[in-house]
Amino acid sequence: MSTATDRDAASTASDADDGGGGDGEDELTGREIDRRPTPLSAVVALAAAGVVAIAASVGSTAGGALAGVGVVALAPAVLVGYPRLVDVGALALLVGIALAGSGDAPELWVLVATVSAVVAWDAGQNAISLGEQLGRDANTARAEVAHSAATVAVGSTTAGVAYVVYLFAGGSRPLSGVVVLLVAVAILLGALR
Amino acid sequence: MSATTTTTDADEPTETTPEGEADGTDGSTATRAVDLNATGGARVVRHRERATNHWEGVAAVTTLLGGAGIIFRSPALLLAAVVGIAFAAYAKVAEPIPVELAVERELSDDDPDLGDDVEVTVHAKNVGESTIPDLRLVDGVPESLEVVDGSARAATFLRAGDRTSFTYTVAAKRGTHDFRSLSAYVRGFTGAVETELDLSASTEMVATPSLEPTAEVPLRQQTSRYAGRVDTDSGGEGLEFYQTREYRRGDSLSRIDWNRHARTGELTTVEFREEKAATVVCVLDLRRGAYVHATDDNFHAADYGVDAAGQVFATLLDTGDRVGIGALSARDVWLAPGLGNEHRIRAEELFATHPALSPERPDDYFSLGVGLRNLRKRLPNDAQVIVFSPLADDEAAKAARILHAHGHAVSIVSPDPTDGETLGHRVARVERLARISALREVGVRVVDWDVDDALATTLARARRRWSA
Repeated sequence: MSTATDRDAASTASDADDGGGGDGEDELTGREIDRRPTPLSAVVALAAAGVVAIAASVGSTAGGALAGVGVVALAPAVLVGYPRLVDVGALALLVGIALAGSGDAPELWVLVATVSAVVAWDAGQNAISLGEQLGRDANTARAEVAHSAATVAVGSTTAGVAYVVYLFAGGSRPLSGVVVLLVAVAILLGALR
Repeated sequence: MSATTTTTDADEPTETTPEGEADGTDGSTATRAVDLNATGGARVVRHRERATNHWEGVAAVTTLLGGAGIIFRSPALLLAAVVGIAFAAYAKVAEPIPVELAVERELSDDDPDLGDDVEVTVHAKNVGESTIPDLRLVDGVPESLEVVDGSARAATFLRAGDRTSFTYTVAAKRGTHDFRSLSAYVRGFTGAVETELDLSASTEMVATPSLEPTAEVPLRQQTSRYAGRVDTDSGGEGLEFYQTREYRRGDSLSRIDWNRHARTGELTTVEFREEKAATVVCVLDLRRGAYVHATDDNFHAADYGVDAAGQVFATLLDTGDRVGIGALSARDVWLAPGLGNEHRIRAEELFATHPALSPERPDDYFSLGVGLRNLRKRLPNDAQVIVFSPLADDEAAKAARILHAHGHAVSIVSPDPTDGETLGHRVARVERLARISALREVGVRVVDWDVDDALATTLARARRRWSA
């Protein structure tokens, strides 16, 4: 899971326009651009991860604990800016959800947890990319809100539709039916590209 | 489009008026009306699209949860796997969005003085048809300038026809600074594809040293034969009483001390202190060694020197002295001493455009011997010299001594580049003070200028000390 090209482009973009010229020894006092992740998206990521931990702990304590580890990993990742650690944290969240779902967590909780995990990961990566491209001091709130709102909208719509379909149709069907449904969606997806 | 036009027009006063008022106080000129409607889209210098791979790996949600769902036979997890598929599809359908942006840059003052804070406001308007969900703008601040407040970057969400602006502050440095382009990074809602644009938006800022007169410059007694304001040590025509002497044939009757003649019967003549104009050459130290600065300072000592020279030049011109400009520099900098408005204009041009007066540290090799020889050839014999140098190395002090030895009265205005912050700075400070006292011993006047103080204050203090 990564955004390597993201960061490459960001650093070339920023090299071109940093103030304070001159050769190394002659460097005048320039204000370094604070390249840490932007705070708003970082907070969104942590809040979403918190939701995952709570929802997972409803299903199983072990799942909740693992999701908690994910939150702990995510915190330094989105506050200081380690994209790899965001991936690791998000993965821990997912495994936590899987553990919770393998227990007897209610379907709705698992769905909410999954969407939140994706939102956390997306917001975390976005915070880092914005931080590296524009810096923490830039005014980025509107773009961040728009991005995360779109992700939340896509996630909750899917989860909502899936849940409604499941309630009315899936409840009594055997498990294999859901699997076939999944495969069908995957094929459809392949056709889309 | 008419609807958006009206909104922009309505926005206009609220956006520009406050700045206009702020500018009005210092009489600056640069509040151009921002008219983004007329321009259409800004010219795109470079256009590039790339995948950000932002969603790469989201399929793991499906794989992990779907797999676990099958293993544990959990419908909840299989259901959750659908979410992963949805996001994978979301990332797939992402396409670069068409972008049309009108941009404009506005400076609170496009002709600032050295060290002035200049507010730069960047306006951007989405003149295209579609909404831009994630617009990241990075302004092309010239390398020679320093952003001191705010950020030259911003990100926003911009509907078709909407406009945005952001403001930051740069510290003006001497020279001509060209804001060339503005980079825009545009992403859709998904952020999976990024369009990178370099928009041409050229703005020029010319910062020239203020040729504004400062406090009266203390001059040495080396003068020309023209009348002026420098008190000399010789009697003659003037205002202030100087001495009486024995009458000589040909002395004017009005100058004879008649009271004394009535008392003693002797004829004596009263002499007044002669006041002459000086010929001054401001010599700028523009060698590599002069481009030094205090730890937390934005300007080189040479910058302060050039600025001070501008002020001293203007002051001397106002007091009727003949003043010229020379430099210790690998490039040829010379303005012969002169008078009058035309001379002032020539100097202004030199200060504004001469490449040797750049705020960037020069790389060329400068030979002190050759440079000084060339300078001395041009110096009028009766010229006194004011050197503007931080005295950060022995070469500058040597130059002053050589000029002094060749019969020019030398004063030095020395902006202090040292502070006590590091050991190196402390050592440099001691060395510099030693250099200054050595120069004072041989009869060179040194004005040690702490750049935090105004030049006028420092000059006034020096004048008081020297006249006492």
